[in-house]
Amino acid sequence: MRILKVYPALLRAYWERAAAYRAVFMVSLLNAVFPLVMMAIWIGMAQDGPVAGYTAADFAGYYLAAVLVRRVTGVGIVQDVERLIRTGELTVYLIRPLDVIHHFSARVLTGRVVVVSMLLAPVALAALAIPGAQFDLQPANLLFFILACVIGLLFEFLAQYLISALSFWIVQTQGVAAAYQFVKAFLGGYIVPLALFPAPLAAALTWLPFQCSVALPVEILTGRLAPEQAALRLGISAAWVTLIALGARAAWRAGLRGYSAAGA
Amino acid sequence: MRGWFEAMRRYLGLLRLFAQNSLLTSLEYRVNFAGALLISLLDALWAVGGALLFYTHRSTIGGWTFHEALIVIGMFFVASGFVDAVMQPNVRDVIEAVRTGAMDYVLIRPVNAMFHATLRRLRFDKCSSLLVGALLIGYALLQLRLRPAPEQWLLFILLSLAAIALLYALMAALAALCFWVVDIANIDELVMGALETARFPAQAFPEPLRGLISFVIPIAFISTAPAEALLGRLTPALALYGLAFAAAALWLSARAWRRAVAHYTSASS
Repeated sequence: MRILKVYPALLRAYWERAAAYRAVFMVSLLNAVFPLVMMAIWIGMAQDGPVAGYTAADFAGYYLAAVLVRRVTGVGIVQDVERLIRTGELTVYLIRPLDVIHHFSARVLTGRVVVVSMLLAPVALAALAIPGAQFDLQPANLLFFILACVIGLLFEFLAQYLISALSFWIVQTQGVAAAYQFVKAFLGGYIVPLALFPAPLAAALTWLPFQCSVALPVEILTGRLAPEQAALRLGISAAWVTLIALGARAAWRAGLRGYSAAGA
Repeated sequence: MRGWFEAMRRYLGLLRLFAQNSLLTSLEYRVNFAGALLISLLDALWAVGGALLFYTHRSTIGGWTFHEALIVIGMFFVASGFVDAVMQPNVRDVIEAVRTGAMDYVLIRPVNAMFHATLRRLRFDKCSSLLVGALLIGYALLQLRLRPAPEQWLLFILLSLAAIALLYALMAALAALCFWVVDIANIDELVMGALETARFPAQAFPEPLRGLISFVIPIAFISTAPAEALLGRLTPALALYGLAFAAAALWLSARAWRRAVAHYTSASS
């Protein structure tokens, strides 16, 4: 298991990099405004009675958790991978003994620590300031939540890795990534809780991959799922992760076979 | 009076020149327009989809029906077209010019520096939002079977101009700010984030946010007030308040710009 020996060093290197770019993470927090606008309107509507079982405090809790979870599981590596492939810089990574995916995973993991530590205090304060309990913090539920976050992060990372593999064949990978983000935000519980979609649609959405990264962890944290429901949906997520991992691997293999760097 | 008229003509001529120049640049990247239009359409789909979801749970929200709210959403797209086509590129240029000292070349020209620095560039491809917004408003009016009276159209156009003036004042203030703080990227993001609240009628928001965006930071005048004018439900007092606010904002931003230029000490000297 040579990789276990290499990883601490890799993580340390990327940790220093992440710590140096703290300010950049601050900016990325600001694009959480749109869900907060949606939250404000739902809260306004909930003042004349709950909307589909959600009270005003429920909405506040949901969106607070969504903003937090989005930062835990959201990944943005397409732009960088695309650049590596387009410019041929990828070659430098290919001749190293470690697969290029580990460089990105180390970068994503260390970035997480910076973001979450910055966000945890404001979210906790806001949760305490809003009347009514929004989060289910029992140990068993927290365990489910952490598991859902890990699966969500894995899914996001692999999905982005799969999309960035498109750069081997097309130029507009970033457009594809933007479209994916767009659809995912809307159908994945970041902009609107899935339960507020018309019932048949809401049921269908829990089976789609978009639910993995935001909707599922948030619904678990806010105590909306019975243990067996949570287990079922974790299973669905895990199945999607497996599928997408296989897809990403196949795409990278095929891409690298046809890859010839500029200038090589 | 004659001198004032002459100056007006000169500046309108300059504005035409700026637009022509920008159009030529935009035509070099024609494919961008298709891309921008696609993104605007997707964005509209998202906004309308979100609104539809709200209305599956309530028939009116803050006194607005779905199609009435569509007019507000359409106005938001018109406003964000202005932001993307004029505000963003020019503010970015000013930041760059102040940082590198290229602002010198703007200041030595025999035109008003604020006029030149803030209206020099126009991203025609980003005007796609304008088109999408107009389509949304047209569709909503058709669905409502509404034919606004001429005076309603007039008030709508006046208030839309006031909305553009408000946004313009905001842009000038932002640009002036970067003479003091070189990097305003964060402030810029924050302001753009606040403008997102113009996506829906101001009355849909709970208090105290509603009061805040209706009167204190009148984001409501960007989208809600023009829509209300078109629907004929804007009170004259509010209309006057909006117009006065826009005029005051313009005047303040011009002052801020003058102070900023006086404060400017080039990058190289």
